Amino acid sequence: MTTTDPALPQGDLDAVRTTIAQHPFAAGLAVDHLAVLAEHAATVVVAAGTFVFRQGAPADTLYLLVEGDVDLEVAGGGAEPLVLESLHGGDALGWSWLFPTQPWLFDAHARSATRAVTIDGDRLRAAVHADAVFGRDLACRVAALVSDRLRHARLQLVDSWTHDRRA
Amino acid sequence: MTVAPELPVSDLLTSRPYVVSTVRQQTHDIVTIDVRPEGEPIAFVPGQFDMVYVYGTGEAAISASSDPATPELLSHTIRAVGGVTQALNELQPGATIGIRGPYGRGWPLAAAEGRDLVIVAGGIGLAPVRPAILAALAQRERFSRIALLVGARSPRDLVFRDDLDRWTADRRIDVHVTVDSAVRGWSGRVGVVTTLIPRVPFDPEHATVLTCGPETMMWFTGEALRKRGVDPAQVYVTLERNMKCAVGTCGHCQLGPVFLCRDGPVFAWPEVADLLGEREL
Repeated sequence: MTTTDPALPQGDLDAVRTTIAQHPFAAGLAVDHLAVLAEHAATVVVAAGTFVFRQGAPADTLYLLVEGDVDLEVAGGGAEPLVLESLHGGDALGWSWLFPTQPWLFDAHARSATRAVTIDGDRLRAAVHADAVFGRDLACRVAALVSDRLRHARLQLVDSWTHDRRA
Repeated sequence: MTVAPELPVSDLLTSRPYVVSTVRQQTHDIVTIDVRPEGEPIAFVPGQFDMVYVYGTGEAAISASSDPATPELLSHTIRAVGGVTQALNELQPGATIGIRGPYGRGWPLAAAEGRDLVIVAGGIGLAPVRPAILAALAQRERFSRIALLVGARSPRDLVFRDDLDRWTADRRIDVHVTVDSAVRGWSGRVGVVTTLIPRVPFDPEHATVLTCGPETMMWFTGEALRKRGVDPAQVYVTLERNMKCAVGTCGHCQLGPVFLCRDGPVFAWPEVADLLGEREL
């Protein structure tokens, strides 16, 4: 269950901007670009044991995790969900919003109560296209995120393959 | 780098009898075998390896995984991947095996004194660094922070769980454990071991890192450490490939210009970074 964060009054742009500025994803972001993110942002709390988002739902949000633990899971065939990666306070979650009409490919399950800043993906994508400097900066940050996750996924695969080959 | 104690030439290729005292199942395919010498115990330094001989079957190069302060009880942790290691996995207490060694260069614990000591282990790679952890804790005041980063494929693939529990409760060492994947119910982190490197508190400018695991994991670890700002010369890896004679004469373990058994198994990152991608010769 996702609710607004009572610790941060909605509409308090300064408070939201400060929270975003303290997040590693936004480290070094220009003040006017922080303002763009804050303009499209909200703060939420996701209860432990509930979903941040579900596989197949429209991927329309960038999440900046402030506190808590979120498992990226894949479920299928009635088997117990497999946790592929756990994300924690300081991590960013979701880049599919950069491309319209993408669905989430995994479930994001809050293992503990999680505080996050959510940024509206449609509006953010519009802002990326409207301002080339902002768009380039944000695209590079998302690319770094994707690069890290790809690197982790490849190492996971190598671990799995080498182990299976030995067995 | 810690250098092996000098052995008499006659001892270099002669195995001594050891009696298996206990066999501890670590995972479904990994055991730790504790052995006691029939003669005098031989000291080793953390990171050195032995040639372990199952009579009638063959030898395998295995790093010591026990406390170097108690050489009278020597341990090796072994995954069953071939004929000899499968035979080792099937040993029972009371069996006699042959061991020759120790061989090679160990971990550079003396060089790490006064610095943050960071240990990164993947899977069974925790075994060769375990003696270094025990030695560092025995002389804790000589180091600044000590951090242990452990990764495994899944919770069931974690080795030395009792140690991890004990060390997690020990405020002298900062332990972080992650697994590549898990099912719900696992309360720890999920992700490859390199995901821990940006998060764990240590001073990259004053850190010495020991890393052991699959070669690909060590390569990714080296890259993540470089990104964190650690001097590559302060990153050490241990390499084990095809060791046969263990004394640098047969050439089976040659990797480019180095013989892993004689020049290693512990190397500074710059010595081997370009060799990690090398295929077998």
